Amino acid sequence: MSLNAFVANFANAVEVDAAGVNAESVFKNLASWDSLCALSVIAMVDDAYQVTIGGDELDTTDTIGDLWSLISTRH
Amino acid sequence: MAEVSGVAIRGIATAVPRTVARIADYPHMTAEEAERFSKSTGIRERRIVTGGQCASDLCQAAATDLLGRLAWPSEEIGALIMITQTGDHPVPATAILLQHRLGLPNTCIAFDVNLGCSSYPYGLMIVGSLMKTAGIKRALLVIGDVSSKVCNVEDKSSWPLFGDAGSATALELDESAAPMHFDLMTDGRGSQAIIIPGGGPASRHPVSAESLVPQPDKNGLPRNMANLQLRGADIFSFAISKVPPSITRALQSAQWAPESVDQYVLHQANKMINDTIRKKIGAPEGHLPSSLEHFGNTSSVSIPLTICHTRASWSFPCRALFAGFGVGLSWGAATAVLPAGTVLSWVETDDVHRA
Repeated sequence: MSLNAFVANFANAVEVDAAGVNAESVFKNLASWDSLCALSVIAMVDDAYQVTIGGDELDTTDTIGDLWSLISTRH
Repeated sequence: MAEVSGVAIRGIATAVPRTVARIADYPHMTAEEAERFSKSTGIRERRIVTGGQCASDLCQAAATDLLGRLAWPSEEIGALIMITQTGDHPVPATAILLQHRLGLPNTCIAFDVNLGCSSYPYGLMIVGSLMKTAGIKRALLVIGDVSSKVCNVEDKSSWPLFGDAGSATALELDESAAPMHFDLMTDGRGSQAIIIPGGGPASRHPVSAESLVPQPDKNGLPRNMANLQLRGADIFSFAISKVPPSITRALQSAQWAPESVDQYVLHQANKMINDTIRKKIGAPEGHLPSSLEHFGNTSSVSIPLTICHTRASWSFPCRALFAGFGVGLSWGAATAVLPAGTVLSWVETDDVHRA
């Protein structure tokens, strides 16, 4: 599992064009980001990486790369 | 792990208010937001109370329907246990109001239990074990919530999710009944995940004129201290991580293979949660009935309402797994065999029974 694959999975989960996001993207600044996107990301991470992330962890994470760092330490 | 044997479920009835609140008509979402909400959660409409209708009114309609169908004389009911978090009054217990209004005898044990979305497995355990130990032949498990009354109508993270309903389940001592197996869990560290912070003068945060003024949360959603506050992402993480192992433990206790279960009835919080749980427990598609589309999250009542909403699927003796999870945090699973003819159609009522 790589960072690039995670960015693609993230884009797919929140239904944005993968070409429009990268590891440096601050996901809460995406125009379409809302509470339903948070649930989609938690579900995707659980399914693809068998890692459960909490709402507070999403709150304290800024970029897609930061989120991958969090997940990759537990995966 | 616990088991209750010698107690049979004889009937399940549910009542909902007549008023339909459609997500597409919700004025605090754009049409695009509403469609996205419905697609993700599975919720298109809910039933909500009007005209001062309370949880007891909905439960009374369900219990009256059930007792009539079973032709159980009211004097034979030895216990009425009500589970609600939106009872008619802080004091007395809503179960006690219903004992009187249903014409049940003074020998009937009646009390309330304060639980939400985990109510059904907990309720079967509480009532079943009480019947066994006290030798109560016939009892009612009554569950109802009117969550629409405690959500701020402008809070789009809670108001569109919840619907109102009341239910009644009849139980009877029967040595030939299949045992029910339970896995019931609690974690008070998550008490802030779903909470109504304010209450009466004795509460941690007595409500005042000032605290009833809605204040925006970090996402700008308005809530006052008497409103339900929901941390959706935390609940989601909790549900998908804690519920599947609980289901597995209950099935192991019953010695049921996952594929041998006819119906997995999960609490109806949102479609994404239940899709994720289904995959994790290895349940086949088509064996998880849902009431989300037409009734939303009916809190404590979601399991009996889902059963009544899918009545046609319960026409043969069904191996059922019930899993409830939410406010507390409290969660659990129960296995039971539902005999054919146990499930009644849901009924509509706007009746209000003022004392």
